[in-house]
Amino acid sequence: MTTLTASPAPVAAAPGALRRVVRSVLRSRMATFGFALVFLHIALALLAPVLTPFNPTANDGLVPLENPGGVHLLGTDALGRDILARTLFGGQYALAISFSATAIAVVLGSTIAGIAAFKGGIVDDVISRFLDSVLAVPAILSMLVIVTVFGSGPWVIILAVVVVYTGGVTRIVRAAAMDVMPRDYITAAKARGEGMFSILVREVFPNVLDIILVEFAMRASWVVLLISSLSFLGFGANPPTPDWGLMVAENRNLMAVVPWATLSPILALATLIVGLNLAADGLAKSFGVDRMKEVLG
Amino acid sequence: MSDATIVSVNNLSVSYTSGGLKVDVLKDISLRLERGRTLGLVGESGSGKSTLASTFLGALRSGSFISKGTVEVAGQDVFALPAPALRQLRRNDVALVPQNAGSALTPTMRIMDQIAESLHTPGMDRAAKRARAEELLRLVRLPNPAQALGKYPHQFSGGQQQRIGIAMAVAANPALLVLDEPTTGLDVVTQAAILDVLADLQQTLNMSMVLVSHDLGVIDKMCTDIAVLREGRIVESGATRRVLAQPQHPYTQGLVYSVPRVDVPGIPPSMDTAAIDAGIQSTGEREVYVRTAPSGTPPVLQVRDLSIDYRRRPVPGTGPTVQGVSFDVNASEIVALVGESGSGKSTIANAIAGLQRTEAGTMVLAGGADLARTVSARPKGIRQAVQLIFQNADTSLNPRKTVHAAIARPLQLFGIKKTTVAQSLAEVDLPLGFAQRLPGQLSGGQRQRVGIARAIAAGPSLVLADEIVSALDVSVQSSILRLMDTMSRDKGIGFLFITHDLAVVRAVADRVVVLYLGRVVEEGTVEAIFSETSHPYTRLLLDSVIELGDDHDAKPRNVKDEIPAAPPEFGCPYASRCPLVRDVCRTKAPPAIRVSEGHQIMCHADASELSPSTLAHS
Repeated sequence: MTTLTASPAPVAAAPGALRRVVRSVLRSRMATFGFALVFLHIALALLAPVLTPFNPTANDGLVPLENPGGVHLLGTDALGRDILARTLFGGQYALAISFSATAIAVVLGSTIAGIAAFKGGIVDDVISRFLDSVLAVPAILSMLVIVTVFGSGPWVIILAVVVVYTGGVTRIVRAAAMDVMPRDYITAAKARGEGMFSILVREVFPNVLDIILVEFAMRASWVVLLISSLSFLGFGANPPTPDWGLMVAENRNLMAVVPWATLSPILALATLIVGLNLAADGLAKSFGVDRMKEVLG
Repeated sequence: MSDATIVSVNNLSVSYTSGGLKVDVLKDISLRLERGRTLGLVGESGSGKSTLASTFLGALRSGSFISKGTVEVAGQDVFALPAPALRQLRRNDVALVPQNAGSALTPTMRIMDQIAESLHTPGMDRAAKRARAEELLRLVRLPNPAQALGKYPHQFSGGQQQRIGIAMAVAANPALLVLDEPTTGLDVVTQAAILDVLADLQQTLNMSMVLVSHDLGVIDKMCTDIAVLREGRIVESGATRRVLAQPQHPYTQGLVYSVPRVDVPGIPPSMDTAAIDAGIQSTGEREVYVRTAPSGTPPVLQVRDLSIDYRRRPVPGTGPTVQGVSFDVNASEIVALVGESGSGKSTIANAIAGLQRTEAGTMVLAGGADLARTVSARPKGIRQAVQLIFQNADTSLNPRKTVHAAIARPLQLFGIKKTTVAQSLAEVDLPLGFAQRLPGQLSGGQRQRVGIARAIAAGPSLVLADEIVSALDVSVQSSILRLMDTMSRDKGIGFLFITHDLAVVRAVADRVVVLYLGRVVEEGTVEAIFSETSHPYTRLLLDSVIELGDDHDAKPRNVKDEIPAAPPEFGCPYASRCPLVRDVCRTKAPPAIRVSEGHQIMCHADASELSPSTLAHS
């Protein structure tokens, strides 16, 4: 045992997983670009009150349908509302709803997935078959049903997203958790007499966290698009909420008169979705998560 | 290069780049293999032996490249060949048998179609292909070859899958067969049978073979030539018998001396890597540490008439998975539970650990604590008293948690104040600095030490050690065995050591329980088990062990290598394979023969019949 008592070569402290991921993301130009876009959106949304003096919902009958220039940098819409203010505050709305809804769906989905993978057998079968039946209904259809039943508003939108997306998250996290479940450290924890939630939190989730994070970034981009689609169709945000989908719907007839009223929410939406997708791709690559599996999930 | 040479490797270096640095996997390898001979590549994990073997097929792991030298097989420089010629070479001249045939066979394809894929004769019709496939399966002695063609891989056992893998490899009558750990993970009995098949195939097909293995016994039996690899270099090569009998290089000496032997009790010395690096020659003395069995210690575990049944409902003709198993583990004692895979060893361990429900029987800890219920219903004191150590150190530690966290968890969970993580690490001879490392930063042996530290930290009275050294390199096996010995003596812990490796049993166990199909067939002290009188099954196990320096040709060859899928409903579980079988064996459970104090054999035969000569499996 001379080999072991001899002092070992100094080893760097546990490799910072975070630092490794950051480095790997920075190495990819597309992933860096994606994260930059997302962080830019977050910053703009948070700084909205500072960046514009206008109230996004305040009508001003004196300056309807202005084109860019003057005090209103991007012009105004038919009711004289500042388009830049509406776009910036629209970012707040879009990010807040989509991120919170996605977060709830991912946390709830991961928990259900953990329980299904841990319990196995009949519990797993019941959960999986139930989710299959939820997933069989087209997303937009079940969202419309929920909105029709519960009315509109941010909480209903969040509920709708959670109902629609929890199933997909569960399926993917369950598959990953099933892979971890037969490992000996889980058996060791069971033999110690640890409870199910203790095992899930301590042993299982840290090992599927990469998949959960990629899942979050991916779903968030879909949710942003979905929420805007709902608003565009008139089922989402109620006027005068500064919502990008709603803005496009309100101003699309006036595109020839005030193009920026439609263009600016569209640009914001497109950049956010592209950014989230690139970020998800970058994360997946640096974690080594199989993206194809995620997409087909 | 003459026609007599099949493989010629000249100054080969294989490298990959990592973080801008060039890392050599193989350095300046030169070797030559004559036609019809067998080359053994020996070394520890990471020595580059598999990388070297795969270059004979012109294959490299992605990311690595030939930085120097050439590999010539059958007169052709494999890494200079254009793709079609390389395919031609792989199709006709070189074939590979991978380590795990179970994952090398396509699960959704029938055996017939898999073999047909490797038959490259053009214009062969289906009937001819079928006939050829059947012939190949007969060649590897797969039972019922005609029937087997229509089956899928999962319907075969590991040993049978390996036979099919070999059949596919020899389908094109290759000049060179490369075998990467072909019997690792198989039981001794199956291993012996597969090696016999390979030796015969080599004779009949006049092949050359390259055999990659970490098992010196297998190399000694099979190979005419040997190359010992360490850290990507060949440290010693030559004729197998000469190299292994009189190793010249300190590393080869270390390897040879640290292998436990079935015929010698005691734990061999562990390899002194520092001395090897310094080039110090071994004195040639093999200092074996012989453990003394404790006497008169009280039992920490008493198992009586344990039965475990996996079947949902009784199947006619078969009995429960585990039936009527009784044994004790005393304090400070190491009891080995021995048997092939499928013998129910791990099932019994799981039942004791509370991870498996039992059908009947009792399991009692010292002080009368009952182990009848599964782990979730056991009080803290019992869960603390029974701890587990696992076979695979890779998966026994959570890769995302530091060594400190892994050891601290049981301390915290069981509210143990008097032991600290630092003490636990010191007990397994790991420096304190390891506490902040992640499992990925440790070697296999170090990870196994952490696994032991985690189990010992809880202060158990009984430790279930499931194959804890079989996945480790020989050089670290001994130190782990010594650790188990120290723990049992210093802390009075009783170990239930589950293994199929009889040499390790001889090295460390005090008592042995031999299991066959979930029934105890023999039980006794380690000397008694390795004595002349033994149960026919124990004799089969002992005869199947392949050891360095044995007279391999003189060993009896067995043909019946397959363990039945389920135990019989009545009689002796071993009746279907026993050379002494008589009518009563199929109807009545065998009585216990008391050969000596503490040595019992469950058999209908007379004790005088149970000697090596009458039990020769022919």
